[in-house]
Amino acid sequence: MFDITTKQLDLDVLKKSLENDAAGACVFFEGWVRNHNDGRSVDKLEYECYEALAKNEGAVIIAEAKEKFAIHEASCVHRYGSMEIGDLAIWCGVSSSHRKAAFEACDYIIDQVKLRVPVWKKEFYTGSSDHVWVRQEPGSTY
Amino acid sequence: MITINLLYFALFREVTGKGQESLSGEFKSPEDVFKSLGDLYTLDIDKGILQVAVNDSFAGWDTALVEGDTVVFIMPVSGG
Repeated sequence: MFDITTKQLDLDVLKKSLENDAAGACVFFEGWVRNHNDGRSVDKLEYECYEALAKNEGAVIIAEAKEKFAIHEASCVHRYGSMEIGDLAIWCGVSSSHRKAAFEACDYIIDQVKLRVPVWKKEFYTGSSDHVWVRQEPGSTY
Repeated sequence: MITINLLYFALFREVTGKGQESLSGEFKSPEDVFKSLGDLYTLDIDKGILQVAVNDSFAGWDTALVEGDTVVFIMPVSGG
C-alpha cells in the first residue's frame, strides 16, 4: 500500500497494515522534519506533490519490493503540505518471516521513493526570507 | 494544431505563477511544448535535469501527443 496525504499519519493504522500471521519481523522507518540541512538552520518545510503520478509510482515501488524481497506486507505513506520541525513526513514499514528481508525491503522502498516519487521539498531558513527547493542527489542516503 | 493541458508543480508553478493552463500549438511531443514554454516564460531551468509525464505516467521527450493530453515537466524530486 502506498498513499500520499495532507493528514497526520495514524501510526496504529499503518502498523496494522503490516499484520500477517506468517510474519516474525516488522521493520519501519519514520522520516522526521529536522531543524538543519546543509549547514543552515531550518524553520519549517513545505512539501508539494504531483498526487496522481506519486500514487502510481509509489504503488510500483511497493510491488517491486514484494518481488525482490521475501516479505509479506509493505506500506509507505508520504505527507505533504506545510510541516514543522519534528513532524512525521514519511512512514515506511515492512513485515516478513525473518528480519533481514524486512530491513532490506524497507531500505529499498525509502530509497526509491526519495529518488522517483514526484514530491518536492522547500526549506525555509531561520532569520531569512530565503527558501530553496531541495534537490535529492542520486546515491544520497540522507 | 492541438490543445494540451499543462500542470505546474514546485519551481514551474512559481515561475509561471499558476498551477495549470491549456496551450494550443503544433505540439508533436513534450519537446515542442517545452520550447513553447521558453517563449512564454523566463525559464532558467536546464532541460537536462527534467523528467516528463504524460497523462500521469512518466514518458519520453519524444512521446507523440494528441488532443487533450496532460503534460507535466518534473523537477528533480526531494521527498522523504
